[in-house]
Amino acid sequence: MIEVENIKQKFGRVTALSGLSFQINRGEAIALVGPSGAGKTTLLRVLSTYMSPSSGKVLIGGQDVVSDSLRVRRLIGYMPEKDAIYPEMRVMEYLTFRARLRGLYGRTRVKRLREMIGRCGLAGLERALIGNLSKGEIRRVLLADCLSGEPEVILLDEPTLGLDPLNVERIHASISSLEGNRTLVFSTHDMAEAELLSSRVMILCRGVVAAFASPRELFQQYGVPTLGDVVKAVVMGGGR
Amino acid sequence: MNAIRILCRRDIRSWLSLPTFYLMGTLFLGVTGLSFWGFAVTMGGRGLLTTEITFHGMVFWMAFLAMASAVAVKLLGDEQERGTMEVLLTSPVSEVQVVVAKFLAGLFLILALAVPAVLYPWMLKALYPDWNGTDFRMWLAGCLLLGMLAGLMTLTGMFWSQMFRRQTAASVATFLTGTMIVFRGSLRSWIGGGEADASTGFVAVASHVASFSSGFVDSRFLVFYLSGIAALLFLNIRLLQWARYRRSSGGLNMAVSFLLVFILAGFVNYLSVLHPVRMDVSSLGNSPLPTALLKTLERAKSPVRVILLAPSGNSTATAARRVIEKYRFAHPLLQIEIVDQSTELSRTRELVDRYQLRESTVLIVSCGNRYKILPLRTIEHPSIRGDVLEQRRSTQGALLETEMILALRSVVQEKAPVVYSLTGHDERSPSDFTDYKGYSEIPE
Repeated sequence: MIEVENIKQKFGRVTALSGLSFQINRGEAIALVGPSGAGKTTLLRVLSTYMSPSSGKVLIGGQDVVSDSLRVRRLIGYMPEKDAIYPEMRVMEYLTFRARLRGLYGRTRVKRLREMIGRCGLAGLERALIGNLSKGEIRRVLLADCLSGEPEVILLDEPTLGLDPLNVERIHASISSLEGNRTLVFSTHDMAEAELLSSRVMILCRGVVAAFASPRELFQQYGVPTLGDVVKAVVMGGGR
Repeated sequence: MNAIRILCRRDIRSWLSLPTFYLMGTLFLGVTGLSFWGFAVTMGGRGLLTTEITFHGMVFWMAFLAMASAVAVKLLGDEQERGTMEVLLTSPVSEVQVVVAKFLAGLFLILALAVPAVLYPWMLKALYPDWNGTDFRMWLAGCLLLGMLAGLMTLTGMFWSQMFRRQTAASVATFLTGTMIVFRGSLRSWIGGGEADASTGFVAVASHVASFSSGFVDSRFLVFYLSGIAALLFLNIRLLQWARYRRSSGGLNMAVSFLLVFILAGFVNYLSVLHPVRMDVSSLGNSPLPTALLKTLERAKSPVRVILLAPSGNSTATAARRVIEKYRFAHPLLQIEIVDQSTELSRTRELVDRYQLRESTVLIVSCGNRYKILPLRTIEHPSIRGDVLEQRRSTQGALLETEMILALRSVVQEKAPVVYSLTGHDERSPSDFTDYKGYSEIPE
């Protein structure tokens, strides 16, 4: 579903991604982990078409993220790290606006949005002003928006960052309840979350893929019992 | 198209829910209303056309530029500041749709704030039914100019908000850009005198204001605004794309495309200058330039200047201004300048010294070292009714036009005309006043 071929991303003299190549199959859930500045957000931004890579090629569903970006954007749902949302809008108004942009109209849109509101625990908040919502509620609104188009590829940048355990649980439940053969790529600093939600874990370190395997394979490979220890070993040892 | 509508509607609804919008509207209406009232009621602007009171005031344009700058920079600036641009640009919408939607929303919002201010003439007419200086068509032409300027300001604001991270800096840059465009001619005059630059004068908005609000719609001005809007639209789209695809469209690529677009816009403007079309949309009717005058100008070897020196708020000056506005850009060598005695002091002093003026309201027609001074007679008086004043203004305009054309011919021709007369062949005597004999019958 996602093919990445030797992509590099430079910001002036800083190299955020240096020659990444990997493939992600349809239906897989990939956790991007690694220290801050490893390139997780940059990689997600490239996959989401928000940024074009300095060099290399990225295909999503067979479409190039640079030359066919509009088609790629119809396949993806992206939730950024920042709580980027319009505070003057109401929850339902915002979700309706976003659904319309995705081409959802009439009964389909109403039905889909109702479903998303239920799934993301936003019932009762439909008429609430976004500016008055808590951080956890805003993250759930962004997730509901991301999922409302029923995208084939879901890209989440630290979906549970700074949330209380209850909100984290709600977001995990929303992600786990996804139906169909959807591909999920998310970045996180929470190793338990990575282990819980992913089928494979990609450890990024200084802009390169230091390790990419299932959690069980990583434990065996590094001879440590937790994902946190694996990341530590990879970062300290410079990958294997 | 659908995405443009959705994005545009969201922006408008968002703005309408903000108290800032209403505060800005109140401020704009208050300032422009005070200026209008000052001109129309207290400062003796009764002799002026209401379009002049509305559109000619510096306060109106300053307030308009400030308001338009504040609205325009927020269109893209807010998205960037909040981070919503990332969400927007990963949705199935293109950069073209985003920029066009923002442009339309900005245009709508600026006009929504400005339109109540341009309705003042109709309020005045409702309050003073005998006020006869309100011409609907002239007003409409003024509104057309306002709309085009609003479009230009919207895109300028969007451009600066992409260049600066801070919205305050972008607002200041937009306001300064607008001020430079609108007050280009006036600034030079205030700083230390100087004459109108006829070669590039057609891009000075002050002259566009004078033309449109007098009911003259000129194709060159229309092309100037429309090509400017098209070029700035392209510039904004490319900048947004560049921020995203730095690799596929590098800096050099973008610089070349900008250059090409500006060359194209310049070429289109050049063509429009070569083939101008002017329409008098006012209810006074279409007044094409006399061909005899154009032929006279063809013979001119140095620039011909027509300078109207008059105080503001003067009915005589209004009539004269309407007449000479027709001739603005009529010919590359014909330079029109309107000098307001009350504000352009240094230029007034310069003219008084150069032409040894003794009258306060005059029309100066000059070519090289030759010049003619046409004093303008006052037609306004507190006792004159509005409709009578309008008739007098129209009559005086026609007389002035004739005098001005004669003066132009006289200053342009290289040699003074020589009249030869025959004697000794039983011709009539100029001093013979008897019927059917002397030359004296000719004037009858």
